[in-house]
Formats: sequence, structure tokens, C-alpha cells
Amino acid sequence: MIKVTNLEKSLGGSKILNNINLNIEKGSIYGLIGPNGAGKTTLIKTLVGIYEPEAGKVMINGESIKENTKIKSRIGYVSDFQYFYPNFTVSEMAWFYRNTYPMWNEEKYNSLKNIFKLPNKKIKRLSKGMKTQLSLLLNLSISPEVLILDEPTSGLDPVIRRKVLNLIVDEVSINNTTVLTSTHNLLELEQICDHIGIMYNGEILLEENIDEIKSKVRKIQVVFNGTIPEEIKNHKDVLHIDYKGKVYQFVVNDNLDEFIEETKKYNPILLEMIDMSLEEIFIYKMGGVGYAFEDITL
Amino acid sequence: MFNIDISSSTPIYQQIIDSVKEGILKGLMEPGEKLPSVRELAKMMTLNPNTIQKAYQELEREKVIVTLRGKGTYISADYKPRKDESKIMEVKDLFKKGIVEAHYMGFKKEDIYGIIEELIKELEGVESNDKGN
Repeated sequence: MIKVTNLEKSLGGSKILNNINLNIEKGSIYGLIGPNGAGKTTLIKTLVGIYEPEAGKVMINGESIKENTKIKSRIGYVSDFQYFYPNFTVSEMAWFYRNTYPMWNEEKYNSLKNIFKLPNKKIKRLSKGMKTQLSLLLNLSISPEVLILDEPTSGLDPVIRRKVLNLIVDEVSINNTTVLTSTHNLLELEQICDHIGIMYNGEILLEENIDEIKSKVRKIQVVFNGTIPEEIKNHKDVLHIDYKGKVYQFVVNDNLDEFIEETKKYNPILLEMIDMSLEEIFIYKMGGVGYAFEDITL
Repeated sequence: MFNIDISSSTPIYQQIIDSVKEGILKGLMEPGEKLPSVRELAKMMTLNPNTIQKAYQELEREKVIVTLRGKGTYISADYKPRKDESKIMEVKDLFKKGIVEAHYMGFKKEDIYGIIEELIKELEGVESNDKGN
């Protein structure tokens, strides 16, 4: 549904996006995570056609988005800062969207309006969180095929945050909408996304299916009778080794069954799986490509 | 009914599968009972609908649930547990982990048998109580 190939973009003379490749399937919820200044917002703005790519292509539903109003009318975009006419009321802004987007769904707008309960004030009188909610409300009402959200839950209270996540999930359930969302909250991504991309310094360092990475990357605790065999220490699938006394902890990247079989040959006294969070998985994975996780987050 | 821990290393779809199976075993869900739709469950738990779809597909493949077109998803009325090879290995491994753990806590062989019997009683107890009500 969203296909980005070899995308490059510079702003003010410095390179912001460096050879970005993305492939997001229809009905998928893709989470983009990365520190401030990684290039998330620039990537998003290039995806929705606000910025023009310097090199490479952005294709949505097989078509280039450049000057393509047909495609753009089906992209819902919630930006990090909301650019509404400050003297318009909420209803007036809805009127503007109703007359701009051909697939506007009045019924959906009315039912969402009841969920968000926004006061019909001038937009300049709304708080930041309320403006984000208004943007979500309007962009869900245009019957989007693609929903692009730039930190949609930042600045929202926990109740509204949950509501927003539920609306995103429901939108995907009913209309099979494709969603790309950026956030700083890994747990939130874990909850609603099926794919995660980690961005750092203008590049996508890792792109993973969450279920797959969770079943592939595992931590195992092993105690050998005597010293650790060299074959296990240098096993090709071992991403990381830690030890305290006789207890070794292996982080295995892939082929878990094979590694366990290999280990069993040396009659370990103890062999058990240890729980590992997605955050931990990423720490080891990033370590594997030469980055420390502290560089990536915060 | 569905016990999901997002930060666990067990994939969420696997946790849904396990929850349904455990629910049936404990008698919390009965054969023929209707399950929430993918959409309902996604909204209820704030989870990705694709994840729930994947869990339901796997449960359907294992014949634990059936989907009737246009009607919904139900716990199979005639669900008979099958003992396939890979599952047996998996279950054995689970026991092994528990036994190793127990051993390190100083349990003797007899204590471990006792624990197993206690657990079976507990699970069966829940089932018969449920039917009694």
C-alpha cells in the first residue's frame, strides 16, 4: 500500500533522509520509533506530499503521490502541530473538510463527534490535546485509505489516549485502513502495531514484524557442568552472552531449536528460557548492528 | 477471559490462543459458546485486529473454534484434543522446565507428583463447580 524506495531528502543544506526504503502492506499498522531529530517528521511529510523527494520514490496504492489529488484525498494526516484556521469554530472546520474531501462521511463524523465531545469553540481557544483530537476526528471522517499519524497520542490524557488507540484499531478492523504512526512510546507500539521501524540519523536501522522478532530472538539461561564449550560460545546465532558465575545467559538471534539441540549435546545442568521485553530485544538487535540503544532512544 | 501481557516475550497472538485453550480447559468457555468478533476483541483489548485474526486462524486450524459465515466464531462443539508430535515435545519441555525449577527449590520426586495432582484437582474442580452452578 505504501512503498518508499531509496528516498533522499535534504533540508537547509543538510541531509535529513538517507536512502529510506519502506513497504507497508494494506491493513497493517506500522510504528515508527526514533529519537528527536531522527527524521521521522520529515519522512512523514515526504510521504504525504508536503515535501518533494530529492531522490527516490513514494508510491501509495501503486501511484506516485506527486500532484495526485485523487490519492491525497484518501490520505488522513494528523501532523505534530495542527494547522487550522484559528478563527474557525470546530463546526466551521468540519464544513471546510466536508467541502474539500469528496469521500467525507457525515454519519461517521457525527458519531465520532459524540465520542470526542469537543466544544464548538473557535479553534484558537482549544488546547493542544483538543486540537489533536479535532485533527483525528476530521481525518477519520474523510474515509481514509491511508492514515498517517505523527505522534498522535502525545499531549493526550490517558483516557483520551486509550480512546484514540481504540479508534485507530477499530478503523483498521472495519475498513482495513493502512496506518503509519510515529511515537516515543514503545509499549504503545507493541500493543497496536504489527510492524516496527527504528529510525536513527535519517536511516531506518531495523524493520521488524513484532510477532516474528519476539519468537525469533530469545534469551536462554544455561549452566554447564564445567567450562562453557567453545562451540557454544562462538555459535553463529548467538547475539550476546552474559554470565554470572556458572550461569550463562545467551541471547539467540534465530534458529532457537537448533541452538538448544547443540547445547544439549554438552549435557547442561540447567537450560531454561527467560522472558525478554521488546525493548530488551531491540537493545541487543541494535547492538548487533553497532549501535547502543541509549543512542537510539531518549 | 483474555489475559494479555503486552510486554511479555510471548507474541500477543500466542497469548490469545493460550487464553482460549485455558478458558476451555477451566470451563470458563463452553463448547458452542460464541467468541467476540475480531473487531469486538480488538476494541475491547486495544489490540491490532491482524494479531487477533492470526490467533483465530490458528485456533480454527487446530479445530478449537469454528467460524460460521455471517454468524460469528464459536468454540467447537466437538473439540477433541489431538496429540500431535510437535505439541507433545512442547508439553514435555514445559514439564521439564517446571521440574528443573522445582528441583532447584529442593523439591523431592514425591513433592513434584503431589504438586501435579494438586494442579489437576484444581483445574477439574473449577470445571465441575462451573457445571454444578
